[in-house]
This record gives sequence, structure tokens and C-alpha cells, in this order.
Amino acid sequence: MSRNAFLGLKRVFFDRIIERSYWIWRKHPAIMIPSMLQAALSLILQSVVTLAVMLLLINDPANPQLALLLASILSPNSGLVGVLLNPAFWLTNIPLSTAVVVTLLLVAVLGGGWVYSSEYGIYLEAWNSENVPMSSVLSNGSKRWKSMAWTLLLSNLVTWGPASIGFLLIIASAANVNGSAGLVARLAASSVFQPLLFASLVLSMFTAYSYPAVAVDGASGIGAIRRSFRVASHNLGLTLTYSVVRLVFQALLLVLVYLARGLGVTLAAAFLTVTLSFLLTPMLHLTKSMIYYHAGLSAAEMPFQISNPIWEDVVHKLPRAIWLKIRAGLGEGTGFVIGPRNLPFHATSLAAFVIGIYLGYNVSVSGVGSSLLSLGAQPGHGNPDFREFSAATPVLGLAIFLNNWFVSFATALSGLGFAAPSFLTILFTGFTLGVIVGPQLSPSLAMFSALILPHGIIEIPSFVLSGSVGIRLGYAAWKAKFRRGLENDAYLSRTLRLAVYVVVGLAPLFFIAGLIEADITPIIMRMFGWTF
Amino acid sequence: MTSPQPVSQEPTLSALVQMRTKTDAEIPIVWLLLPLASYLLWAVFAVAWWSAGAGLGTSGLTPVISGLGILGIAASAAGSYVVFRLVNRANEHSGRTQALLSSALSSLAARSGASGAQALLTLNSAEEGFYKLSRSERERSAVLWALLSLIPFVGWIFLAVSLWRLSRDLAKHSRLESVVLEDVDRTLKNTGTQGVLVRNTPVRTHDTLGFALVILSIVELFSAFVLGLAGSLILIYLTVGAFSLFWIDLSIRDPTDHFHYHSQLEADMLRALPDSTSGGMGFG
Repeated sequence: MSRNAFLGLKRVFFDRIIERSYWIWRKHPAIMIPSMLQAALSLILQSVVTLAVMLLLINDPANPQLALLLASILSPNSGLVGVLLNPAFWLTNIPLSTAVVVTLLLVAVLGGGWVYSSEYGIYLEAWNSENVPMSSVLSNGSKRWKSMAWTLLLSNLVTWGPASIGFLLIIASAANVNGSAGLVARLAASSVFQPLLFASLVLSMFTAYSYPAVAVDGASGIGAIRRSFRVASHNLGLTLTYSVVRLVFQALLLVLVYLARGLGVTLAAAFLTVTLSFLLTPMLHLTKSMIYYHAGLSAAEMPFQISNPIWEDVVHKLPRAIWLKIRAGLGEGTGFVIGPRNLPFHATSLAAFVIGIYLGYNVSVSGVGSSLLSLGAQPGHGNPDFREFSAATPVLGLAIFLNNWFVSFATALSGLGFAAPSFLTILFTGFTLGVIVGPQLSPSLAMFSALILPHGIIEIPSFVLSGSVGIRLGYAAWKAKFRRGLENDAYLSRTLRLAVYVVVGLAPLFFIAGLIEADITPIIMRMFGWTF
Repeated sequence: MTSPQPVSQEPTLSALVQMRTKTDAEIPIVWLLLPLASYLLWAVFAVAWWSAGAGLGTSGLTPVISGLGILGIAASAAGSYVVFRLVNRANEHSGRTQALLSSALSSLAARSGASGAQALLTLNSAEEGFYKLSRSERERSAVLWALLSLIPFVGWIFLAVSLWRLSRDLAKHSRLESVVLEDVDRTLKNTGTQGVLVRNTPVRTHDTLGFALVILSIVELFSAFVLGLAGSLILIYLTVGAFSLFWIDLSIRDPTDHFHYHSQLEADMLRALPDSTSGGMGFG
């Protein structure tokens, strides 16, 4: 026991915790996997919507509203919420859209519970032990997922409830804006929204420790929220420091993305996503968890330590460590591709892609192609971002690489949902290509090939491979769930590790494909008659 | 991989003394060029932005302005690293000093039992002084202040505030530490050992400068109602920004005497308490 502890002076040091979080992140790369699982969960949610939209399109391909829906899914600016708020989605098939929304809510809460249970559990394990195996991702996920799901639901209701009420008031008042009463209601709703949003932001500071409370103390629901409030109010300065640090980091990344747009790098959000998922989220969430842990009575004050400067590690050692992981991934990936036992998974993933192209082509010729033309699609006219080669073009290639690599991570890891999300993602990729290859949208097969093949020859097999390893992961999850046994649990852990390494090993391929897509494909497209 | 080098839960006195070269490191004065570069780059950015008549929409962003903005952020990051080093150095010095004193007091407690009431009395006084020191010294998050000073223009205010607090903390640390050291010296002498060098090395708080800066910042922030936001930011840039650069220089130089004194003091302490191998509980 230290002298300060004896004197009743136990303190929690923010800098000591955040510094150690970095070293924990370096020592146990497995703590990044739950963050990637978050992306996989988003992809599962997305695949629920894409499946519904594909079904609607196959059922009624001539409906121009549905073509608009497809266009908004493909647009990076719309997203899942944009699609859900689109009247075309609701009005075309009410039972289907209701089923989609219910499924989304269930997947978000239950899946979120599992992922957060894995994430915060693994942080605690990494903080206190020398070795964190891949199986910890799964064991921690299974340990407290019900408590975490319940806490996730309640915590979000408590935190964002006020802002949601304000938002709903604005929507309700916007629906009836005619007349002076409607106008007054609109003004009142707008003026109420800001304080309610502010209240939610303040509450978010106090509920920040709800998830760590589940992992550290085994609390659940209101109990976890209450503990979070207690720790936050007893360590207000520390909590405020954490919130400000997080806010400034995110704001800084947003400013960089904004400035990068001025340089012509339109996909800069990929940098933001990758930095957040691989580095900032694990480090900041680990810091938050450990603030909670050290604020507790059972944990001792962190002793005074001197560590080597992080900066030196980032510059001199981290790049080599990343390269070693990629090299290991390339080895694992090669083994996975040529392994004869993996053939059924490759075949299933390839089949998903081919079926997707077939379905997409069919709906394209049945009316979706014409609808997209009427919505302003210009066959033979490429993305204006690729109009001319500039200093920003290689950076654009890098952004494409990061985006595709991240999606392939999500595709592979979403396979944990019994393979269906990986299958659907590959199916939808094929579906999109099938829609574009339709005669209305592609003036000739040669022009289509010029658009897709130069980079697609590397990119598409890489995507199919990530789908394949995702399907194998789903198979392993299915075996572990329905044929319980230590051997099947071990198989699932091994397959999760394999999935991570295979996608890490795909990085060089996506990197080359991204550079070709930004720098070479536009040149070849021009040669085949494309304009920009 | 370079993992942290945790010294044991209760580091020995000699281990703590050896850490001095890392915690009390001198920051080269040329590092001032980093915040200076940031200061100048943001001025160029502001002029370019204003000349192009750019708004907040991306359509107003020219490649030159974006490039300058990214360069400015890179320079600000380098400048905020200097802030991080300054605040972190103060934290590490304070943390090491507390561990050092704790270890020394534990060692003294083990010795002074047989040395009579006078030694126990001075030891008790030293414990009390140490308690005050530990209670009143708070860690200022170097990460937080470095990030806040990274914010363009407004960050200069945070930079000035952080440096003022740093000066005040160091002055307080020096004052409280010397009280404990006087008692440690007396206890050592009472146990028949040669004492340690106790020298008062007062560190300036720069309170006058700090208050002037706060008043100036407030006046300039309120000047936004008369001059507009741009005018107010320009004023902050010209005054608080320049002041902050000056203060970084002060913060780099101010603790030098104190650190130099520590190098002599710790050598004395190690000589006087050579066998203090374990921290233990203290209090005999």
C-alpha cells in the first residue's frame, strides 16, 4: 500500500491512464477487434435494409421510387437513416418495412449488447493481464451480453431521450406548418429543441461510464447508469477532461476531412473512419473504462512510472509492427485461398456474387435502368472527381483503399451473424454491378469493362475472399452455437483470428486496387469513350 | 515493441534518482520555433482565407487555402507537442518528487524510531508537510491542454491559461517541497546523519502577467460585439498569441534552477539514505 493510499489520498491520473492505454493498445492488438465488430454490426444493419430493397426491386423493378431508393443506398451522402426516412421505403410495402425496422432495432440492441460486452470486457482483461488471446473477444462477448444490451437500451433512452423528444416535436410541427398556429408550433419546437439537445449532451457525460460499469462491476440497466452518474459526479474534472479530449480529437479529424475536400480528396471520411476504429475508439474507450475502474475502491492508485515517448514508438516501431502483421496476414491469406477445405466457402461467396449480378441485371433490364436514366444517370459519363490527374489523385487512391479495406473488414467479421450478412454484402455488391451492366446504363460491354476491370481484377476477388472468410466464420459460429463443445469453440476462435489476419493481408491488394482506380482506370475509361 | 518501463510498485530511492534525467529534462529553446511557425502559418492562412472571400462552404475552399489549413494544423500539432512536453515535464517532476519524498520518509521512519523524540517530532512534521504537498498538487492533463492549444486562434487563450497555471503550480511545488525538505534535513540531523542541502529556489508565478492576460482576453472577446468575430480573433491573435509565445519561453527557462537544485539535493539524499531499498508502508 502506498503512502498516499495510507493518507487517504487515492488519485486517478488521466494522463497516466491514457498513456498506458496506448501501450496496452500496442501490446494487445486484439482490443481493436471489438471496434471492427462495431463496423460489422453496422454492415449487418445495412444488409437488412439492402435485402429489403433488393426484394422490393425484384418484385417491382419498374417503380421509379424504388430506383431512387437504390440510388440513395449507393450514395455515400444518404446512408441507412436516409433510406429509412424515405417515403418510398415505407409506402411500397408497409409490412416489409415494419419488419425491417423491428429487425433493425432488435439487431442494434442485441448485437450492440454483445459487441459492447466483448469490447469493455476485453479492455478490462488487457489492462490486468499479460496475454489477451483472440478467444477473449468471444468469451467476453458471451459473458454479459444480456446485461449490456439492457444497459445499452436504457442508457441511450436516458441520454438521448430529451434530444429525441425535441426532434420529434420539430417533425410533428413541420407536418402541420400551414397557418399561424402551425408556425407558432414550429417556432416553439425549434426553441425547445436546443435546450433539450444540450440536456442530452450533459447527460451523455454522466452516462459515459454505463458500459464500463457492466464490465467492471457486473451491473446492469439502471444500476449501471446509477453507478456511472456516481463516478462521473465524484470525478467531474476527470470526466470533463475525457469528454473534452474526445470532442477535440473528433473535431480535429472533421476539420482535416473538411480541408481535404478543398484539395479534391472527396473520400476523406475513410481516413476518419479508419483512424477512429483502429486507434481512437479503442484508446479512448479503454481510457474511459480505466477511469471508472481506478475510481472504484478496489483498484489502487496507479504508481508513478516513466515510459519511453509514444512519439518515438509511433515513428520508429509502429510502421514495422504493422508491416509484420500485414506479412503474417498475407501468409494466412494464401493458406486460406489454397486450402482445399475452404473451397466450399470460396464457392458460396463466388455464388453470392454471381447471383447478385444476375439479379441486378434482371432488375436493370426490367425497369430500374430506365428509372435511373430518368433520375439523371448519364451512361458513359464518369465521376467528375476523376476528371484530371492532380496532386490529390494518389491521396484519393489511398482514401479508396482505406474505404474498401474497412468494408472488407466489416464484411468478414459480420459473418459472425451466422454467415448471412457476409453473403448478403457480397450479393449486394454483385447486384449493384449487375444493375450497372444493364444495357440502358452501360453503352457497351467494352466501356463497362474499362470502368470495372482495371482495378476490379484485384478488388473483386479480394472482396469475394473477405466474403468467403466471413462465411467460414458464420459456419464456425453456427457450429459453436448449435453443436456445443470445446472443440467447436476453439474452431470459432481460430476462424476469428484467421478472418482478421486474412483481411489484414488483403491490405496490399486493396492498396494497389485503390491507386489503380484513382490513377489508371480514368485514363483507360477515356480511351474507351468515357467522358467526365 | 517498447512497453512502458514500470518501476516496481514502490520504487527505490536510487531508482527514482536515476529517473531524474528523464523527468527533469531540459527542453531546447529552439523548440520555440514550432509554436512560432504555427503562429505565422495561421496568419498566412487567415490572410489567404480573407483575400479569397471564402465562407464555410466547401465551394469556397481553394486548394491553396486547404493546403495552408492542413499545414497550419500540422504546425499547431508540433506547437502543442511543446505544450505537452512542458505540462508533462511538470507532472513527471511532481510525481517523481512525491515518490522520492515518500521513499525518503519511509526510510527515515525506519531509522528514527531509536533516535529519540526529537527525530520523531521532525519526522512527523515532515509527514504533515508531505501530506499538504500531495493534497495540493494536482495533475494538469498534458494531453488536454495540448489538444486545447491545438485549436486555431482560440487555442492561444488556452495556451496562455495552461502556461500561467503551470507557472503557479511550479511556484507552489517549490514552496511546499522546501517545507518538507527542511523537516527531512532536521530529521536526518537528529538521527545523527549528515543533512541534505536545503536551498530556497523560488519560482516566479507571473501572476501580474497572468491577470493582465486574462483581462485582455476578456476585453478582446467582448470586442467581438464592436469589431465583429474576425476583428476580435485578430486582436486575440496579435496580443494573446504573442504573449503566449513569450510565456512558452518563460516556461522553458523557469524551472531550470529548480531542476539544478534537485540534482544536488538528490545526490545528498542518496548519500544520506543509501540503504533505502524498499518503500514499504512508512510510519514505522
